[in-house]
Amino acid sequence: MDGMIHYVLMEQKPEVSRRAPNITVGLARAMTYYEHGRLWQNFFTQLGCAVCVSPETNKRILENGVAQCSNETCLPVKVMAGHVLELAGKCDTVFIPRYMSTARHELCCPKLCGLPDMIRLNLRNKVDITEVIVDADKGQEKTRKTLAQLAEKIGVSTKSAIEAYEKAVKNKLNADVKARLAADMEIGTLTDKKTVAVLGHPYMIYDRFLSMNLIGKLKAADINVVTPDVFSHHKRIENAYPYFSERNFYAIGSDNLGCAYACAKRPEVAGIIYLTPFACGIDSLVTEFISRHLKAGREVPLMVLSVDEHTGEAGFDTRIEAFLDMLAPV
Amino acid sequence: MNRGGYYLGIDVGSVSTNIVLVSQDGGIEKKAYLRTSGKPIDVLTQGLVDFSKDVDDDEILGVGTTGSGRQLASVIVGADIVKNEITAHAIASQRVVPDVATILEIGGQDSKIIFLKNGVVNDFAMNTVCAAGTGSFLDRQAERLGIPIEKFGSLALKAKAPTRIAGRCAVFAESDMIHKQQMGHRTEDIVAGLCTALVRNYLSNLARGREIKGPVMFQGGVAANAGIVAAFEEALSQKIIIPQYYDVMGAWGAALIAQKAIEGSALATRRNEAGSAFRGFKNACARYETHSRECGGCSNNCEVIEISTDDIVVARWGDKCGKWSNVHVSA
Repeated sequence: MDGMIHYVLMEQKPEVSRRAPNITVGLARAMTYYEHGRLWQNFFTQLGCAVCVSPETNKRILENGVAQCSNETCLPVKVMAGHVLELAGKCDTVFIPRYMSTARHELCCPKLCGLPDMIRLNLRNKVDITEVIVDADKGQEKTRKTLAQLAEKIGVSTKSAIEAYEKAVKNKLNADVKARLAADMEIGTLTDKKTVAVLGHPYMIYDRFLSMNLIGKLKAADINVVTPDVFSHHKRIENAYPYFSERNFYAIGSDNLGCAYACAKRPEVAGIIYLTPFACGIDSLVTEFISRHLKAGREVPLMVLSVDEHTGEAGFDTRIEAFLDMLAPV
Repeated sequence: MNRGGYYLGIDVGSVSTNIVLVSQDGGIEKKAYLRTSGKPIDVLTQGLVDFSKDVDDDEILGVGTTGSGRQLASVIVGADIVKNEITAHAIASQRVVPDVATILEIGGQDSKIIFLKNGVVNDFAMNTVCAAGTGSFLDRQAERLGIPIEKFGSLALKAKAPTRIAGRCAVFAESDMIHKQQMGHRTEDIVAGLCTALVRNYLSNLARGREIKGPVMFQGGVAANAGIVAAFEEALSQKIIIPQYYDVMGAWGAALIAQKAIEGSALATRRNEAGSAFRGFKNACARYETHSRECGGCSNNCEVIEISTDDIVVARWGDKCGKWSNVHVSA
């Protein structure tokens, strides 16, 4: 894998063109967009770039992504590829951040670590891709280095790129969690009302197409919905680690695990639905740990809903209906 | 038939369409198990014509539909409740065995397991896209071996040394069976091996290591297969209860839920005038036309299904945004 990454990076050495700084940068509404999209939007806007965000996932985006990617690729990455294709021709370059780690002692999913490469390879370099490495565990060095490369590529000074990044990070840290998601992507609040926690990767649960509007359907059934974002990252990790005394887990796994454990302590949480894309390695472990933990404590009903590109909505809805019946017996 | 009113329960599944008439004490008065044969509307309306010979419109106090075609059935008949199969099966099973703890259900193209605790559903699982181990697969194998499906199960019971068949996937199971036939294994041993393999597959896919507590009930069309029943009893080391109406439990459950809903709404005495959404046998048995087309309004290109009778659109569905299904339609 290492060799491949080097190869691709070498081949992809950004051509240095002194274009006007106000070029258009494409952001794919997929993967980390649901957590950090605003940060990068803010970053590029500060640098004077126009930002073009791909539309919400739809059938064409999914089908294009599936058609382009190798069969083994996980569903969210296929969808990512579809979004990048959607941006082709609408922008000068598509920005895909390479998230290695977002906190000390934490690792991102390998698919995020290799995301720019996977997209380049699967799309056979059809779309120009620009990246920045984020590796919070190792420090700022790589980020600064890749920011300098980006600055050169889009024709701004390294100093202004680093300043814009630092400001964007600060802006994001200052903004509350709701603000970083689209306004209608409510994350809910824990109230006395009957609550169902919807867990999973942000790019699964907040993507209305991939999630088959799970959150909307639950709300239509008069259920209060909460997502992992209802707890702070710190709180989720704190809840996950008494169980995992060693910090050896992917961050997103700990987030969902911690949220499930936190929910298990809250009596108003009547049930937990874990939405997982077919073939997600992290989820296969996390869902198993959650179900064992729930069995040991207060028995909170758990349903794991697995979706892939072939999933029919009828079977999906039947499961949701039956799950809700289970929470409120007829 | 005894006077006083009935509840109609309809289960439109992928392989069978089942209709039951339930009296006010909850018992089944009449039942029909019909092959859907890919024509759910025709089969359902023909079934209803048969029921209309025994019961009048104003005797129907309420209607419940379930199964994968529950929305369709609801539009045609006019249902008071539209319920998922899990809940419907659980309700019917509890009527037969009030303390049932596990329900195994294997239908034409899907299978379910339902766990109950203290009289309420506690957990459930349904098979995924794969139809390995369901009735359709058994049908196909029986046909390939030249055995009538009704005799498939009893043949399995005659086996002396069941053959080991790979049951993880229907395609592999079939090639494995062909291979075992060519090796000279006896047909009854292969059939028994297949039953064992399907049960093994069902338990590992659906029960996934969960403890199967008794009483255990087994229903759905496949419950008629004595070979599968024997394989379940051996795998679970306990007796399996097959309810008398094993093949129409979903429809029965739907009728019972409708009854509860209607009686709960205190409209029971007012009959159809206000109590039930039932459209009447004559209306229900009208001719229906279905059309499907791609919407084209956005990149989702949803396939919209339209059902009409006498050129009047009675229902539309299939769209994600609600643009078509929310359109007010007159029945």
